[in-house]
Amino acid sequence: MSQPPPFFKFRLYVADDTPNSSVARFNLDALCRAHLPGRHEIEIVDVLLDPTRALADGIFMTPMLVKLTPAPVRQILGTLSQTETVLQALGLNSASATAA
Amino acid sequence: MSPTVLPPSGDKHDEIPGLIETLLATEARLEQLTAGQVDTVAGQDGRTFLLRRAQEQMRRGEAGKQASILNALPARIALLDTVGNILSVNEAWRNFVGAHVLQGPGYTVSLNYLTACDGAHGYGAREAHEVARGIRSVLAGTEALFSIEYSYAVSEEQYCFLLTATPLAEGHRRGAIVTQLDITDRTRAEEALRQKDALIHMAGRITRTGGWAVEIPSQKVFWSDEIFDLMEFPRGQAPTLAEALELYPIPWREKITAAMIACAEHGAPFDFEMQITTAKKRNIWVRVCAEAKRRKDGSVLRVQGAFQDITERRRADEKLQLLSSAADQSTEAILITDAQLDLPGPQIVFANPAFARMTGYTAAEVIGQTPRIMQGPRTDRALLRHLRENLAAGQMFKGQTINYRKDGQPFPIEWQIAPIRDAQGIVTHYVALQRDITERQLAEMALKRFRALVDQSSDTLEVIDPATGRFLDVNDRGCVMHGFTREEFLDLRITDVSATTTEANWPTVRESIRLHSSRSGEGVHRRKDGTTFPVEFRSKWVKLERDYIVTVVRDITERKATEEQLLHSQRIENIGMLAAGVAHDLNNVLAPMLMAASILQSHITDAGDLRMVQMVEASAQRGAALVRQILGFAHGVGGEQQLVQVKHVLHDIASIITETFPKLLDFEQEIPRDLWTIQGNPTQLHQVILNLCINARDAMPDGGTLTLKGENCSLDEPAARAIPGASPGDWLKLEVSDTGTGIPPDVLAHMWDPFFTTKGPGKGTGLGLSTVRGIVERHRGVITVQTVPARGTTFTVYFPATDGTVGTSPSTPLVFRGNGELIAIVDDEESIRNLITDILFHHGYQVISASDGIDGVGLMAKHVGEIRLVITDFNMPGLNGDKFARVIRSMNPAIKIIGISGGDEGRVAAATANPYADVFLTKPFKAEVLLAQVQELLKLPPIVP
Repeated sequence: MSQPPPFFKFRLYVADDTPNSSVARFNLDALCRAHLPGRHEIEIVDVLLDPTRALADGIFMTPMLVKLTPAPVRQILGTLSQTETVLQALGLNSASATAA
Repeated sequence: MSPTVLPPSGDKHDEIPGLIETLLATEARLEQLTAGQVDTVAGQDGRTFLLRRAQEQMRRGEAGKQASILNALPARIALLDTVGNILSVNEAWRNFVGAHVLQGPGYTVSLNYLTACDGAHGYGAREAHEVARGIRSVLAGTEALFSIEYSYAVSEEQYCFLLTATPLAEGHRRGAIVTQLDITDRTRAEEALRQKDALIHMAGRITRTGGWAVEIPSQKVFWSDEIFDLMEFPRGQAPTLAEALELYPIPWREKITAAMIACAEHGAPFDFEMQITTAKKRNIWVRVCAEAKRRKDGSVLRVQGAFQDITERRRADEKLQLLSSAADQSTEAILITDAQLDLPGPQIVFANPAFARMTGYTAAEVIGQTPRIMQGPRTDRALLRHLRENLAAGQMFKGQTINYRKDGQPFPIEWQIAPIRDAQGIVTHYVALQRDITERQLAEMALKRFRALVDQSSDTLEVIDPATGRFLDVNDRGCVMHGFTREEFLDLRITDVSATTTEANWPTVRESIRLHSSRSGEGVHRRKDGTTFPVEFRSKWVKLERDYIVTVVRDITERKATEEQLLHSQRIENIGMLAAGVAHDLNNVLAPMLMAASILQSHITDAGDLRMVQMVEASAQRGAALVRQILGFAHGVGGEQQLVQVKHVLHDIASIITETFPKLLDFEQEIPRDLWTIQGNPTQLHQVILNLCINARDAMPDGGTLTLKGENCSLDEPAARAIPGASPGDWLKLEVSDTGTGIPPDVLAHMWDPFFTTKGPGKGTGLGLSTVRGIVERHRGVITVQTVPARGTTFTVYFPATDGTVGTSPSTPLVFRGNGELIAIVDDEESIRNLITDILFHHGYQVISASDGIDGVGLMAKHVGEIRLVITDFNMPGLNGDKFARVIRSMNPAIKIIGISGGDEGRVAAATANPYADVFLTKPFKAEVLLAQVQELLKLPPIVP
């Protein structure tokens, strides 16, 4: 690939440190460190603290990860524990295979 | 969540269980759909709904977090219910209770804390009861906060706690939270800080030092308590910077303001000594120094510094400065050493310029040296030992010895060495004042010599205080003269000693001395025993450092006596001179009688006439002898000695006595014919015996017996011893005895003294017995006296007898005759001139005569060559015999000259000294004597009839 790797912008909607939200934050951190070092940005939105934001964004459940870039925008619900599935959903499957 | 719920109505009662059922089913389905991975869901209105598991999780997590927080706190925390039961405790509480003594009931969960506190006893019980009280009031809602600090000893360690109790929920009686915070470390740190602070303050107080700071840029001033005290401000609010600077007097104010600005802007430190005025308007000296405290960026945060009252030190410095210049100016050498007495000796730490001048060592040369470098062979070792002992005993020492200058020159020195002690009384140094006493020793010697001179004086020397008349000094002679010791004398005043100076006239006397600066005269002084004596004095006003009167007093007792004697002798001499004059005239009267008598004897043949003429001759001779005696007394008695027939003298005296003494005296005489001769002067013998006889006569005014006796006397050893002054041998003994009044003892003691007389003024000379004794002694004789009152007195005179005898009878008179030789006679007395002319003419000479020297010279001129011999009087008016003799001798050197003199022996002596007269005859003389001399001079043979 002659193209530079894309920069990932995430937004993670959580509810305080409820169990699933906490796990999701932990998993996203680990995934980014492993697969997207130096080319990611994470914004955390606590729906308990900022309910209108979630409503505006059309988020009805937490934890919910939104990939803002690169396009297309994708929403992934849950704790992000199934790593392969998540990578696939993010379009990072081949990249990881190539890297391996 | 709405806190208010309406009570459910009857028909809705059945709906609720259905709705719960739906809720639960909905939730279960949601979980199922999201595989349990969702925590919240939101409704269309955006309200978030927390799912059951997440709710559970959240609640547990919250409690855990809170427990963790509580457990993480270092404080011990317990939750009490409304009656004080412990509901729960944190880990620190649990650990503390477990680790220490508090296993007992009351401190763990489910036990009542109040009960435990109430039950406390012994150490800490008081605090425990107070805690219980406080917690109760918190639980009751009357106090919102209770706190107490208390200490607690655990295993001998002191712990400090801060206990607080607060209500669990405000306004509700729901229990309380009790917190125990271990503040042991904080308390200890605070205590340590307090102690440190106290030490700093103490140091500040003692050194009169304080700290200050000025915040930049606020210029807020901070003063420590010490500065408030030094500045005499009430502690508390420090003045503003401007006010603080105002406290410095003008010249200092400008300087310190500039320094403050420099320090605040550039961080330049300063350190000054200045004067400042305190709130009580006292000027004190201070040392003020400052440095800048900077922020991290280098800008100045504050200026801080120290401030010290150095007034005392400044005063001490000033005093030291003064003392130091005094030491420099001192003419006495000052040396300060340390107190090291053992070898190598004390070290010099200071020497003043006078020391350098005295010794030749500069201060730099001797500092660090021992003063022993100035000692030498003549330095008194015993004195040094004594010095060392004194100093070791911490005492002052004074002494004199010899020291040596740098050039080796010895000089006498006086030391005064004193120990210097520090505040504890320990000797740290010695200060030595040293003086070169060469000059003083010389002066002292001179003074001693002068004193000896003064004391040796034969006069009294007194120094009198003019103000009081008291004696300030007196010499030894003065003490002896007056019979006082010097101490006694110096307690006296002039009026005690001088009988002529009284309290009344002393001021006048003093003023007279002051006015004329001296006064002299005669007076009378009084001895200690009250007797007085005449004195001559000379007082002088002496101005030295004050006024003195110096008086020289001479005892003139002897001089007075001598003066009296002199007066007396002068009187006698006047009488003598008068007598001599009379004698001269008497001789001229007697001379013709004698000569005429001797001529008549050769012409008279009738025996009766002859006896008459012989009596005339004897009387004239006696008259001549009397005249001689008067002359002898008047001019002292030289008296040639010759062999004397004492019996003739005795006979002469006897005839005088019988002829002249009162007839009511019986006179007895005992004059042996074979009386021995003595060597002596007949006239003087005559005088002795006559004197004794006159005294004997005067002792018998009412008559009695006078005995004159001569005796040959051979004294053996015992007999000679009985007579004081005599020795064994042949003596001629003469006795003059009377039966008179005798001599009283007081007269006996003085009767040999010259001028002592009992005979009353004008009657006796007082010379009689003293002359007698003088004559007797001159004849190596002895005179003694025995007297018995009312019985009489005997004077006995012993003369040493001479060997052999003199021809007992006079030889047959020779007849002298001339053979027409021409003789010139020059005499102003016509009778004598004629008599001599007659005598010579009758005996075969041719005679020409002249009445004075001028005529005599004319006679000589006419008959020069013919005249063989000139007889001339030496006492002539006009050209006297003396000159006349010289003239005629010059005219004819071969001419013979006989001088005659009617004068006294003095004139005879003068004439005899004349080298031009061949022979001298004293008038009156017998014709035989004149003829014999003429015969002799003209070398004519004597003719024996």
